[in-house]
Amino acid sequence: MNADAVAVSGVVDLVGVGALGAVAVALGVAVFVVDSMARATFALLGSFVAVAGLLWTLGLAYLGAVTVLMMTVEMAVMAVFMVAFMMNPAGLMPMTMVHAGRSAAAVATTVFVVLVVGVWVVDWSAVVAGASTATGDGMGPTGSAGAAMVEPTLQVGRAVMGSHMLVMLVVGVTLLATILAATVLATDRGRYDRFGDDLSRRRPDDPVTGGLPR
Amino acid sequence: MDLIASTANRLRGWALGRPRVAVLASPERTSTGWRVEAAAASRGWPRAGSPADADVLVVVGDHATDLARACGLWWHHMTAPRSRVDISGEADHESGIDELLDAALVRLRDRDTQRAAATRTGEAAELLEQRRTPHGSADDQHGGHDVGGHDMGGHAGHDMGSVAGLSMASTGQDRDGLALDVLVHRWGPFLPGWPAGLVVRTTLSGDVVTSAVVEQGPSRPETFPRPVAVAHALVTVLDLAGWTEAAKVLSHVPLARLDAIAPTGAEQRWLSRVRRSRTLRWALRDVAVVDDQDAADRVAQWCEELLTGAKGGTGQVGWTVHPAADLVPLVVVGTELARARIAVASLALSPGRPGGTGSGAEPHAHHQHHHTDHGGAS
Amino acid sequence: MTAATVLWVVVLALLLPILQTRSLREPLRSGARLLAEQPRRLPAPDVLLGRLAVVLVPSAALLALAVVPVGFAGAAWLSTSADLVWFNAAEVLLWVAWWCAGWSPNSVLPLVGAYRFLAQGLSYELPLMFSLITVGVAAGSLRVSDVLLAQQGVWFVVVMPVAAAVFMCAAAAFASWGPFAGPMGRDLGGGVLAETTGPARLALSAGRALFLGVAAAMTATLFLGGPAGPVASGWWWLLLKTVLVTAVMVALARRLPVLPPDRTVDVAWVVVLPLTIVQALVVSVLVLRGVL
Repeated sequence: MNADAVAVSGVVDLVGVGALGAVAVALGVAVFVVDSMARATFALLGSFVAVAGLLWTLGLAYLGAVTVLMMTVEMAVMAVFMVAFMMNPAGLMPMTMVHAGRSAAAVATTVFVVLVVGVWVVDWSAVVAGASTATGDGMGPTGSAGAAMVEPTLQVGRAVMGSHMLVMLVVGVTLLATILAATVLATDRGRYDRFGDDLSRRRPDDPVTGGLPR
Repeated sequence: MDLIASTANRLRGWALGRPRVAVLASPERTSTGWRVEAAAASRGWPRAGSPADADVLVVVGDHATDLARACGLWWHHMTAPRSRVDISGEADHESGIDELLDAALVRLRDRDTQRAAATRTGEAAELLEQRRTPHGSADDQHGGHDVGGHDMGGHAGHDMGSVAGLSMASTGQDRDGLALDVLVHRWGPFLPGWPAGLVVRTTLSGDVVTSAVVEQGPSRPETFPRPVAVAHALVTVLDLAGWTEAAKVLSHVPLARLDAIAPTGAEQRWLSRVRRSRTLRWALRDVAVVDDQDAADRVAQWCEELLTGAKGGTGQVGWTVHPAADLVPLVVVGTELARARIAVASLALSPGRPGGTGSGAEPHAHHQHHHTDHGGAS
Repeated sequence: MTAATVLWVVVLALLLPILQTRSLREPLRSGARLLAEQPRRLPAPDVLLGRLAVVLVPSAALLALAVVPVGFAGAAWLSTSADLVWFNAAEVLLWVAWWCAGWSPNSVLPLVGAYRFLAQGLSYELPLMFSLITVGVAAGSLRVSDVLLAQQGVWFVVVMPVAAAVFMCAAAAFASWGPFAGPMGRDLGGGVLAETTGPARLALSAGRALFLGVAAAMTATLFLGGPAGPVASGWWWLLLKTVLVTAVMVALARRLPVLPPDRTVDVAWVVVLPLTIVQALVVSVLVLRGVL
């Protein structure tokens, strides 16, 4: 690639990053401006998708795609709870998406400032060098991606499954335990409701029988 | 230009050549309705699942005012191009039905008529005025406002008012005893696969039916020999259970049985396939349990009856294709909304009054309100 | 390249309706009928999200198609280091699309259909991810071209039959079709589509058919060796395999009623998900042993 082509692709990247960043911020603002839970949910999703686009532009294909994947499922599940618990299932009553506005704004501003300062203060070249000595041993799957460049997907994989394996396992199991515990606590039906006072019922008395024998 | 216009017109005519048809037959004229459906099917016209889906509406029978109003609503909710046929007299014979369907197709393809109709049906205001859709309505919400208040988690600006003239959902207890929003949804009197004339008012929390009231039963439903009624019930359940192919193959069995014609080879193969199907049994298991029999048992039994009784009819008592009204709330409450519809269809077979046209099971359904409540915490 | 893509889009969108109706003409006629139909609007709809759904279903199908090697030279329109995740991400956009399509008319039945879809989504999504992961593990890469290279010896359907079957079921489920048509079931009067008419309905239905076609082509690519054939490898082999996969799906769907989503969820989590994990484990062991 000659110098001109590099410069052009640099400009294109810059414009792309700028545009996607602007879309992400605009949709983020929209979350608080729109007057419906459904639209707020999908404005937030749009913002995340724009961020995924940013990752993509930076050459992080896997992270970009995974961001879209995870965020979409997350927002859809949020839609379930939103309508189940918070509002009229078939109505479109306008409602404000903001409450405790002042303190929320203060928290948001603080976090934003901290992150931005962090971005500019941290010496990224040192971090990157450290990361590649820790994870990059040049064993790419195809081996064609250039000698120095390890594929980012592989790097992420090594980070998660290598030095951070213990953290990831603990976090994963803790999350699962939390979900199960919350469900158990939220259910007011116990085994005596299901199997009778002397637990003698052969088939449990459940409101939904389900698809498998119980 | 003429060439373009005429080509467009021909293209339009071709596009509308196989319209989707909905037949709304009054309970007394059930078999005429089947004849119309069979005539439409033989032309390759698919059956519509909802007013939005329908192009041709066929109204069979002299409807009482409330049923006529329901037909009007169906018509109202159909978008142009649309065409309506009313069969009130004795247009029973095949040629009469065919002529009426031909005429409906001509009207459907007539551009000027449809243009004029289109501008009117598109107006939201008019739809709003008649919000009670044929599927049901969300217009009357009662009670529940006092149950646990309506804490919106601090979402200021949300108050119980109305949007575009529609009142908002109220709160009620759901299956787990939580105070959640509830909706009122009315089934009937006309829906594909639904016993004509039956109106059930259900209260929903999410998609679970928490209470059901039979508001109206059919007055004098037509009665049939048992194999006919059985065949019809079977096809209806299969259609609602989403087994389109089985329902399609078996769909003309009811009419054939009316003339005492035994199922053909292909029909017999499908009957035994349906009877053996483990998937169908699994899908219908524990649905509408009455007398220790669930929908799966009944479907298997119907297949068995149609297969073995192929040679001779059983009994002279007339059977209606309507459920006993007092059973409906019992099997509907606590189930998922759409499963409720299958539950009703699986019971849509009850003995009529011997020798008469009236249904013995529900002579006074107009006056009785069967009501079951499932709102309390269990 | 573009000509190939356009041709494939047309073929894949029409493949399923043609096989299903056993007619070349009727799918086109249904489409034309919907174009001639008046759009419909109930009181207080969410027009914006409704439009989003109408755009999103066909777009997601096209995005998914981007990583399927449908070029005449056997290349995909897009090749990244994470093709399999890309396909998954495009598929998951349907969650948003179907939910918005059911939400926007402001009517009970479509909304119930929308939530049925989400319930179904929670059933199929994890098994689908595991089946894609298994493919990735066997190929040692998330790139579709590497998956094709890895299948030069033996097709993946032989090594991972569970993953292949799960992928096909998941394809039917995300398109809400056949035994997984609950969200658009007749018991809901059409569910998500119950109140939609005209061009909007056409876009949703055609997008759905296209996505199923794309998923069939992806099945052929990931598990049946893609454009590779015993003689004269090329795009025609991919097309042939895609047609076969679709035909098998149609034939199976004829034999089955709709599986109720609230029962399927049990089977998906208790039976299918562990099976897919075991399948991934078996394939991983094979890879570590150097068999693959």
